[in-house]
Amino acid sequence: MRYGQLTAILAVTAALAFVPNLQDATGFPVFYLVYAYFVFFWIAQSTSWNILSGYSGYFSFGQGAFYGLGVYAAADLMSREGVDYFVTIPIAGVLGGLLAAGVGALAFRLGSLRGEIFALLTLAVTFTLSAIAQLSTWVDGGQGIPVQIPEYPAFLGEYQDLVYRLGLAVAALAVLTAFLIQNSRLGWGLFAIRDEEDVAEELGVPTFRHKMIAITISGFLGALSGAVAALQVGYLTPEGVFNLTVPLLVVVMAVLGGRRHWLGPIIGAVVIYSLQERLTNSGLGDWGQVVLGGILVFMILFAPEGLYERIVDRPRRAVAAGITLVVATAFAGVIGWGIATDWLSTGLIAATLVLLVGRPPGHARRRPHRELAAAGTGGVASS
Amino acid sequence: MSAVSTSPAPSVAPLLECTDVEKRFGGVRALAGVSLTISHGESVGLVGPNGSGKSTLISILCGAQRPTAGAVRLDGRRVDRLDPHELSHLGVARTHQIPKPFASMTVRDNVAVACMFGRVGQTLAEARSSAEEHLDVVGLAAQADALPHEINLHQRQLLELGRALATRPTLLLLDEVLAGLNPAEVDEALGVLRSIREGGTTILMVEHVMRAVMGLAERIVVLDQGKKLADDVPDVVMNDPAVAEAYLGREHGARG
Repeated sequence: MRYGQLTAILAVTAALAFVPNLQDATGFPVFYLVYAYFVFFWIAQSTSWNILSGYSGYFSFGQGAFYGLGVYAAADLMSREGVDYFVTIPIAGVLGGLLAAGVGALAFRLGSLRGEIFALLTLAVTFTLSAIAQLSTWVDGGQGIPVQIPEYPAFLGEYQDLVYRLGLAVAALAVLTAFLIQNSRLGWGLFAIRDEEDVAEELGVPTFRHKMIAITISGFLGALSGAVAALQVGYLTPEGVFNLTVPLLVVVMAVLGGRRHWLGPIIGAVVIYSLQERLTNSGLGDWGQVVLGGILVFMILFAPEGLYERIVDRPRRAVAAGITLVVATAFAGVIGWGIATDWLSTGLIAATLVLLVGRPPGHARRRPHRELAAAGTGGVASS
Repeated sequence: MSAVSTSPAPSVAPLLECTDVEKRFGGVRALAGVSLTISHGESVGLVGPNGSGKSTLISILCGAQRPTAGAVRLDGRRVDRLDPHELSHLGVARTHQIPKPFASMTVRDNVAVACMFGRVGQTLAEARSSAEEHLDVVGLAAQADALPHEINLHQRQLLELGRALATRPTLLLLDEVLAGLNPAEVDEALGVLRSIREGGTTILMVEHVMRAVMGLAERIVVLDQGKKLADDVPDVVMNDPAVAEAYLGREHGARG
């Protein structure tokens, strides 16, 4: 077990949990806590996706289903049934896990549901849930649901501190889970499944059970994070919750960050969220989304193995990227370009470019990415 | 060393017993009722022309396919409805004719996976060190840190073998491990196979390199059109006119 990494995860979580306390002393705008919350949200979602799809290679477009189920479970139970908000969070998680297990029991029983077919099946689950939310008056009924601010004990501080800390807690739980899986038999079994599933099975990996555990954990974490997100959404509509933003962005974040390590989705979530925020505030309007799309296509073409692999395989380049991050962030700060998050975005974009330039690590070391082909970025499955 | 854990198991039942095993794919009968018994510690060659059902039989024995009719028993226990991972835990391992390594893992980790999930089920830490020992047996110790695509075909076939051994099998199914090797490589691989056999592992080998089959197998089973044509010591089988006709009458030493 890598105790150093474990300690680092716990230490960073503890330090981040303390940040809202600094607000009284420093008076930094609440906006930064909201910003940080969204980073936590995307870390939780992309890590949840990665535990199933990154580790086992089963590309899922169903993250929106787990997320949406969590949002609606928390909002409905709280607003309509009067359940205490803090009780709705674990309920949402369990419901997400059950939904995921149901999808898995169906998909993994049939050996033919691999690759593109699995991706389509998970996407269909998202659309089905959306339709149920539209039709069922218990869930939504097409009217939308306002989410009121729940009551909570005073010692938890300001409302935004609460949302921040809940978001952090779920993200930390997701990352910790991903870390533990990666360093366990389960993780090794999943990696073997990703590379050669039939061989893994013949060498003794109980592939069905491994995939079921992975998808259930993924669904649990995705819905847990959704339950916290309900607080930040304010007013729910089926179209707003079950759109393609979550299922597509988590894929992009994990792919860009790297799917073979727990740090990958974190890197991807931080870089892409800050990039997206920068573009949203850039005055480009909807063109910002077009620019974002273009940048993502560029990144995936040039770094299909993910930034994490680049950092590990080329330590000197990684140091250069780190220095670039600090220098560019400081430079943007000194010339007073926007606010602190803009400085950070500038630094992150510059550092990412430094990592992307040049040949991929261990040139052509990896097989063509079957999963990427399945995700529709071009071509058909190679085998 | 791979043989350390392969107990001779002096049980009454043979290690493997196939009774009237039949496999149909739609209208095609790949296996038309094959009965076969293999005792503990035996090494048996499985030969036959293309399409005779050898690979289908191997797939059924390792659990990848289920027979349409008939029974497979391992140590007296019915196993033909088990999943491949369950058969692996019971001590059945196979190699693939075309090596299928885990592409993103080093040679060592490829073997470590088998150590962790095979019959013995080692911990992560144990698995990496035993992996080294298995790599020694197949002569790949120097390539432990390489990725599968960085080694040549011969080495990938040895990796396939090393990975199967790492599950600590009692029954090792070899599907043309020698195909495509040059004579020197065949000799090297034969040496490895002999040491595995001497360790007490039971071997069933599908092979077209007759020199290898003759040198290694104590018994040869010939399949033709899904039926067992002969089952005897090598000398008798090779002089059997029916075998000669099946082999030489229809094709001349073709590979499949």
